[in-house]
Amino acid sequence: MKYQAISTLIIAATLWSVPGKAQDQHSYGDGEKHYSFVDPMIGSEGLGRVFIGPSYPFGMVKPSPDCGTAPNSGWLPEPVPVTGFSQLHVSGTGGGPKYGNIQVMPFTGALDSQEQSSLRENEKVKLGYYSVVLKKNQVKTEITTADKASFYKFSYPAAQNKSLKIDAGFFLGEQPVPDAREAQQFVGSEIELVSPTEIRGYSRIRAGWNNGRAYTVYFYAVLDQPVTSYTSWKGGRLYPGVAVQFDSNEKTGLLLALGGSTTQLNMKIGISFVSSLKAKANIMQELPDWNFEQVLTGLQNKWEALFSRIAIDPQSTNTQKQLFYTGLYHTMLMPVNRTGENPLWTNDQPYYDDFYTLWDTFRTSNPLITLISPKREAEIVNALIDIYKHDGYLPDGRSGNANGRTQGGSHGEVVIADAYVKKLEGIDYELGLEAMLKDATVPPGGNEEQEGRGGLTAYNRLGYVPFSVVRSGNRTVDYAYNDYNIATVAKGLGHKRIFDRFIKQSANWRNLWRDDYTHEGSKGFILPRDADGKWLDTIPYGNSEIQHPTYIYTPLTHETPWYACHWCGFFYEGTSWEYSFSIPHEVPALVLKSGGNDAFRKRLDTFFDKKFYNVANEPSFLTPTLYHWIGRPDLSSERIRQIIAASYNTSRNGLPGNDDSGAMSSWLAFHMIGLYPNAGQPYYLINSPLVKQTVFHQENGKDFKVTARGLSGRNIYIKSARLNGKVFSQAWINHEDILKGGELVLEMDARPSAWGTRILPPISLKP
Amino acid sequence: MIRRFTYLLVLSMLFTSAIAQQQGTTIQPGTKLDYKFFLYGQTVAIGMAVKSVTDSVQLDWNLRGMAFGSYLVSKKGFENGTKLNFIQPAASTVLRLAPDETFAVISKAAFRALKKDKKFIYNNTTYVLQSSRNQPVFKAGDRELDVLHVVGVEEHGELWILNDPDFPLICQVKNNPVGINFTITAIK
Repeated sequence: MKYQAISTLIIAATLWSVPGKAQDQHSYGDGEKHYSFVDPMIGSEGLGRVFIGPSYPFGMVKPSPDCGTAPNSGWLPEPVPVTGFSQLHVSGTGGGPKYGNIQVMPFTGALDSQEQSSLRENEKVKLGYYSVVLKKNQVKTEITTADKASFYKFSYPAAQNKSLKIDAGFFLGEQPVPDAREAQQFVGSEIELVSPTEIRGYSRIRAGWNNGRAYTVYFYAVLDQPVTSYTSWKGGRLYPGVAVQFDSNEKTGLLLALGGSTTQLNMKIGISFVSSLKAKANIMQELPDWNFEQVLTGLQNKWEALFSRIAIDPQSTNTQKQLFYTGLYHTMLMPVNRTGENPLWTNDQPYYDDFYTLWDTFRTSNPLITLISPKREAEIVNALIDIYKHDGYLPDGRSGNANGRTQGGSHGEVVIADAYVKKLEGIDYELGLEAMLKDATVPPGGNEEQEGRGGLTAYNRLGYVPFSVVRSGNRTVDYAYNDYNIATVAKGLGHKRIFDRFIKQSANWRNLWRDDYTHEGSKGFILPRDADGKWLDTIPYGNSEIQHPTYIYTPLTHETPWYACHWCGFFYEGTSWEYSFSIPHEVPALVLKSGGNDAFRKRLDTFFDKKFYNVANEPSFLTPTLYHWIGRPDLSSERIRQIIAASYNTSRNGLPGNDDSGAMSSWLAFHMIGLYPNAGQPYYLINSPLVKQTVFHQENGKDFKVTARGLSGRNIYIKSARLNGKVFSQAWINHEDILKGGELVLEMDARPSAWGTRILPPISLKP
Repeated sequence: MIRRFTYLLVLSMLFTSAIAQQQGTTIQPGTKLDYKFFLYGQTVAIGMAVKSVTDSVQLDWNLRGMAFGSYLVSKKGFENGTKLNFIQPAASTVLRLAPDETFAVISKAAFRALKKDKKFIYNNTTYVLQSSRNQPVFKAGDRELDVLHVVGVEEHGELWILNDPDFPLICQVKNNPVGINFTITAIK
């Protein structure tokens, strides 16, 4: 029965994984662009929560509709009314929302109400473009954007009845409870009608998901039609004819009536984190004209330059192209490039924000950016190191110019180590190592959610984080991994003492590995342990001093939120079954600890067949490929095909979990081309691709091609391989081999073969 | 005098209303209970369906229609239980409570003690009946319920228990020292 179920899934997966139905066939036509296959709506509903508005690659400004204050991306499906269109959003995040600042809303009629929300019709979304007709007054709103300035085109039913609201007080994530956890909190705002065509002001907000300090979003808006009358507001009170509302810790805004003889109103909104005059300068620099189409074309060209770095087979199906290029698109929405917009310090280094979070992105997003544009990834790494230099710690999460939060390890270490092993240029790795060592040696103190390593003192003393520290399970396995990353860079830079210490510490996950514990036929799990070394089978909960209730901890226990707060469990968003596979730097040791190859295969099969695997979150990203380490890459490929067929598609619900700044999407993109990174290591695992060919047009000018010869609905297994014409028997390839250019040819077959079974993925460092 | 008359009239109306609600709220197989659980800063809606009320009590829960399971209170527990068990629901599992434990109800014996002595002991805590005077009307959605409000002495958890000797349903828990609170939002 189990075999039959698996077979059915495999067949379902392979049916759409190769060119099939005639109507789904597609070739790149003359002049057809990769960006035309991007569908920003994939993953917009359900758990995906992706941003649906226009954005430059890594663009600072992300204008999009807001449907109330609750949704993380701002947008919700109809029939929820649109409150307005704000200029900053994040993509794919969970928890409480962030941003949603400087909201505009066209309307018709008198300037007598702040409430101008409307239902929608005819909503259209494509890369770089959003349009909608507001039902209430039939105003069509079109949006495109530059990097730091957005562009709006409003088409009203009548030229003499054009009104516009500009709300400097709006923000997402507002809650009635003051200081509610993960809610954004209002600090201040102000607004001024500078001239009949210019408005400026700012919005100051704090907290949100990362509980960050206050950030200020300055704006400068320019209109192509003059304001004829106006009413400003402060708090709940309207002020007809008053052009300025200064900041007195209340929400402010303007209601404007526009003149001019046309029904169309164009507006450019410059955004800055430094000043409103800088916001004005951003308009002048990026949007000197009033040509909407030209701005849209400029945006599309920016994306096309990046998408064309990885060209999948033109004969791939439209579905495949949509999934792949939308995956790349999601991956490059964040972090955002705010170089020149840093309000905290000045220097010549790049400045990036909205690392949301490295815990999510280090596995696949950062490695994919490295493949597409190593220079961009080097900029991102330099920005991380520069944040360390000025704020004292590398971020794990960062948004609104403030570090926060940490969920498990200090994953800046993985990102820096990944850059190091892939030889990204222009990075001060000595300074990077210093930043990593700060994480590993200096407790962050006070707020351990903000940065660094919570529970560090105990970890360094005991070799594990004891249960009394929240998230001690995943903190321990992550810290051990991060220690391996430190050892990697230390060894490369010739720091032997540092290497000796941290390569030893990288085995610390074993201190929470309970060898004799058996569950569902598998032996050995990461389990709770107190500071005295005692394993904890039953765990007390609550604060009662006379009841003393306990719960039994098993490898499947999800103790949050029932017995503990969301952030207070043994593992963050996962179970022991999931995290006991999460040892990416010592998989061979994990196999041995699990009882050898056969036991490990059984363990993996149990994990997937009994649905202990969580497709919706990042901790298990690597797990489907772990069959590689027991010489069964064919089984990895089978699992990957099952997962993709069951959980990814081109619908609005087409992502299985929060996209998390492109994490889910980049996982898919890697597997579609048959390569998968193990972050912090210089190689990619090879799986059977879903497309017949992928060409990497690399930044160094060299092309690398992956060709799957004979790939079909039946031929899903790799029979043999050649790298640049030479027999290639291993199921992994070094990053360096890709950089050199050339071709990896995979011969596909209908049956598993001996290929890739003998030369297992390497261990770059040995304890 | 007019004030006194009005007071009596209001009291009379409240009393009549309570009787009516008491008569109207019968928990029986098929009754559906919607709860909101308040768990460490998160609010979770959990639906319960009463499967059986005689002999043992079986409550089938569902979480947003995506996960299902049951709590089973033994006959002995329902009759004479002395402890509430707040064990986490387990998907696709019938959680059978110990013979001295109940979930979402107090035992009939405890309820009898409450009526007789105006207090009962549960989980080693003495719960004392509070005066119903000045208590706001307890509602599950639009439906008024006749409940008995008790407060713990040793620890200060509060329970609102349906005034029904045949099924003393816990309609609300506040300040629970074990950290799990809930309130009923609908009885259907």
